Amino acid sequence: MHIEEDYLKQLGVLARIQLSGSDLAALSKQLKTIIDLVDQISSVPTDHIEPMAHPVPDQFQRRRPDVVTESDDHERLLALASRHEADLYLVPEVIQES
Amino acid sequence: MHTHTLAELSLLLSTKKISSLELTRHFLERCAHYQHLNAYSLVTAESALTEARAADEARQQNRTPLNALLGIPLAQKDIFCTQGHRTAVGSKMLSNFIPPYDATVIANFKQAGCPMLGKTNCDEFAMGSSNETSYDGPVLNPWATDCTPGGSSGGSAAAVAARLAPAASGTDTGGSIRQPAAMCGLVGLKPTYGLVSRYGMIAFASSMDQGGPMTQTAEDAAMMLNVMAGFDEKDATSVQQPKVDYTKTLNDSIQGLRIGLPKEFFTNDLNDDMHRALDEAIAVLKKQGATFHEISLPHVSLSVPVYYILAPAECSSNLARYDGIRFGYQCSDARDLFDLYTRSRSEGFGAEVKRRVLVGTYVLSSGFYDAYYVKAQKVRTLIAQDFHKNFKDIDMILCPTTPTPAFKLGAKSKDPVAMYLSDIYTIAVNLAGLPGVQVPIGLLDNKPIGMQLIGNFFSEARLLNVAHRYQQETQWHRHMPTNFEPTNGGAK
Repeated sequence: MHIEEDYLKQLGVLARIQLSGSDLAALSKQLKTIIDLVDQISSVPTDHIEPMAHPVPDQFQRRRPDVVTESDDHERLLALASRHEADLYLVPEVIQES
Repeated sequence: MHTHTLAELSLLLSTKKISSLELTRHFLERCAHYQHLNAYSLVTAESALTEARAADEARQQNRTPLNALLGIPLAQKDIFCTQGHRTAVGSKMLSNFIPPYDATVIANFKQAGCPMLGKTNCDEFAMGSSNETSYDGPVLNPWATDCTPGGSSGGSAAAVAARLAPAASGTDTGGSIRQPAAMCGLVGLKPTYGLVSRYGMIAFASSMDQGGPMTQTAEDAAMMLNVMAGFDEKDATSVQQPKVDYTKTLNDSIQGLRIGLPKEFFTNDLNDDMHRALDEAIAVLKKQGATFHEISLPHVSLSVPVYYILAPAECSSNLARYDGIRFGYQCSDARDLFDLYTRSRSEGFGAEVKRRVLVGTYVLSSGFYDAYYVKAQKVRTLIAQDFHKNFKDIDMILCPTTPTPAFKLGAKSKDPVAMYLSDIYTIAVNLAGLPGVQVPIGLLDNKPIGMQLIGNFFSEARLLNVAHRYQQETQWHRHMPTNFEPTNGGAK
């Protein structure tokens, strides 16, 4: 399947990845070879086959009681951010005055 | 000192013939001397020496229980979070990331008293089969420095092969322990999904990611797994299993062991020399009483297509967390929030990661989700069922680990599909959640090749037992690449 460059740009928007004009043609070609590879599964009969939910039978993702188990770590975690102030992450202005 | 296995080093330490400090210094010297291999992204010399002194003190005071690995320095793949030490997983995105906590695997090795020599280089977010996608640069294969060591755990493989560490941790999502172990002449074990905690292991494709050991011998892998494996409440997919000592059954007889040979893997496509080496390995196991039976895995040829739907889908979801705000790389002078997200991710991720995120976004997008993601999970069920049907009649499966020995740097980096096919024999194991171990079985053009043993869930002890029995009769695991001994510093 061919992925049109316009559609690829739209994927970039969804994935928050900027695609420059020069990248688009090469990437479109590479994605085509990958999609052609994965399209091999389309002809496999899978009626009545359950999609795998967990690789190990009878296992499931455990849940834990909804109680606080971690200590307050916000200072150490905030310190990892590029910009923060007054215990808040700083981002560019989102709501602007009209 | 560096030519010893973990088992030998453990004996030397417990009989006080060497100290952890001497051993750690020795390996740090080697890391510095052979840094051109680029096996390490970070060498943590200062803390390693502190940890070595603490290990010697613990032994001196005979604090019990003493772990068999106490005082043995190890290399850790730079995908495991290490408190206070940068963890970049080969990405510009995390090149400034110093985790505030340890991964459970790291905490387990600390608890055992193993100094950490450093963090080993790997493909960016473990996405690659040649270690060439790393922001820290490619790793050279010690056996042939114009070749890749394989990937994604290429730094760990190169470090152990050149004896810059006696053993290392790795992670395996589609073959990332077994394929580089094969290309560097090592034992590499991908455990059953859920056996080793994923807590603090930077996520790529969470339904397949699994940590495991990369060592010189099967016995060493058993010693490492004893420390790495275990239930962890911090990982929702960690499986509650009784604690096993994987070293206890290494010498068990393999008389009557039934081993399956998948006809789909032993076709004319298999290189003649690889086939011959596998036949020789089969003969060694036959001599010890194992019997061999042709089996069929009818859907196994679909593993690569299924994997390259599911792994990118999970990767696009997992990597959505890198927004440039809370941690990791942030672009400068963002115009608005969208620009901040988009440029931080575009500047922070490399080409292969972006490619996989885009493929993942595509297969998960509205209108394609059923045709790709759900369909792939159904075919994944079929692939797993093929294994389970066979495990009713056989105990394990033997097959190649890789189609070829290590390939040249740059040989496949322009062709993603050719690169993906280098994991053709390993991927099905991850899709089915099974354990698989790679064992060196020969040299081809002076480059190592290996066989893979695949077992049923939680059969790691049996797999390592068979691998160990094979190594009792062969010497391939004793081969070392030339030019890595001795160091100029006189360390021997």
